[in-house]
Amino acid sequence: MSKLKVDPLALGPDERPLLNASYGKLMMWFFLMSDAFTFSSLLIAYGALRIRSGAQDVPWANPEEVYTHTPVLYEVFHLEWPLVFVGIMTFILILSSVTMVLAVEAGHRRSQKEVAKWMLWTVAGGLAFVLCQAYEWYHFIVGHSDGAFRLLAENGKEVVALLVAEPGVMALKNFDGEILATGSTAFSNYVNGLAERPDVMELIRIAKEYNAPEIGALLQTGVDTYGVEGVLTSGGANMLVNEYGPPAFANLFFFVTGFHGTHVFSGVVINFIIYLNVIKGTYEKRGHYEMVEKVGLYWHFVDLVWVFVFTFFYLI
Amino acid sequence: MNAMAEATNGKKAIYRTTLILSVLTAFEFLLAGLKGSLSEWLGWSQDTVWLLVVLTFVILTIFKAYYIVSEFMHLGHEMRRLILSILVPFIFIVWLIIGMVIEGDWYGRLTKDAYGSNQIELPALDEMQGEQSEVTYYG
Repeated sequence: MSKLKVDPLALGPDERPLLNASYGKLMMWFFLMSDAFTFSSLLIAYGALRIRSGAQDVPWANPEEVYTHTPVLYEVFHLEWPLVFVGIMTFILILSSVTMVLAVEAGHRRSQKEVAKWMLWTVAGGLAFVLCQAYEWYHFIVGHSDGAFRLLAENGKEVVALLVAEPGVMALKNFDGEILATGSTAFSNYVNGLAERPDVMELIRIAKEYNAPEIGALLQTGVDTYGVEGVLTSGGANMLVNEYGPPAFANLFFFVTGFHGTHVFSGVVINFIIYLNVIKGTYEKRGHYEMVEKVGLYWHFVDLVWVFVFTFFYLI
Repeated sequence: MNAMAEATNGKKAIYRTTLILSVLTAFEFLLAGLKGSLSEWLGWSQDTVWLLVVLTFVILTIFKAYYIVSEFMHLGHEMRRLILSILVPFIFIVWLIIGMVIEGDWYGRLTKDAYGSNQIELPALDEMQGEQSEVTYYG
């Protein structure tokens, strides 16, 4: 306590400086606390649903099979290395947190040029992270080449067969994995690119058109004998079903990483505004760079949340 | 202490924290890659290894959180009153974690027969496409 430097911006002695921090900084802390409560609730909901799923013997998604796309590695070399990309994303966010501390540190020395430099790096890091997340979401939604269409019976609940897009071929499989029929690549590519839940009649029509009569015939049999009514989903994920695990998994993924991404994006915007103020000389005139410290608190909080999201969504 | 020395000191602490965070993240990443084959190497049961790995991840995450909050957010250098008024309310979160873990497990076991085993619970197609659905999706 003796080493504590009195913050000149804290409330004056007659106002009993209880916490030795300025009003703005205190309010930022309490805002972050409430935000931390929100994120905690979301992550606890994730935990509860995942544990429930485990108790029901319904397997949860395995992160190593979900997050397998890395730019360049996937597009150029066709490699699907699990978790590499998210490791890079985590590192980007940690580094942008570091550049933020360096900006704050430069602010203490009132070195306008250095503050501006480090703020700009922080903005760049945040932007890079948001772009990475866009890439990740894209591949999460589109899914893998082995994602399956599920054919549904009349009651709409029973799954009769799977229409699986395998590399280069489209296969109709039953639940034992036996291939009932295969279709041409053209059909496979076309179906892969379809929006989720096409009508089964539409699929039969496409099968004829794209030289996959075997699948068309089998689908027709499905309609006639099992009363197949619809095709639920392609590979990938939406809010109702996904190829990875229970629906709750994708819903939580969208909500939690989306909510975090929103925080990152607003952080980028706020950081950029502060950067503009720095180069304009606003804080030089004010005599201190406390504003940089305050947005710094927010930015580190975003990094902090990612540490938890990273652990629960990608590692465990 | 002159301004120059103070600056180097501050930067040293920053780089030290960066190093710690990077090493912990790299270790987590490595463990995530190896966790599949750990039970074979160590000769322990799958469940034991799983529990240990999860526990390691959680502990490392708390370590990382500590360094970010204490060093980057500078909370470790604030007054004790401020530190406590930020941290103490999180007792409620600890309570919520315990409560929801128990609740999740209980509810899962309760509904196991209806939604467990090989049956895949899927919403009805017409209800999905309809405007208003009163179906609850279990997952």
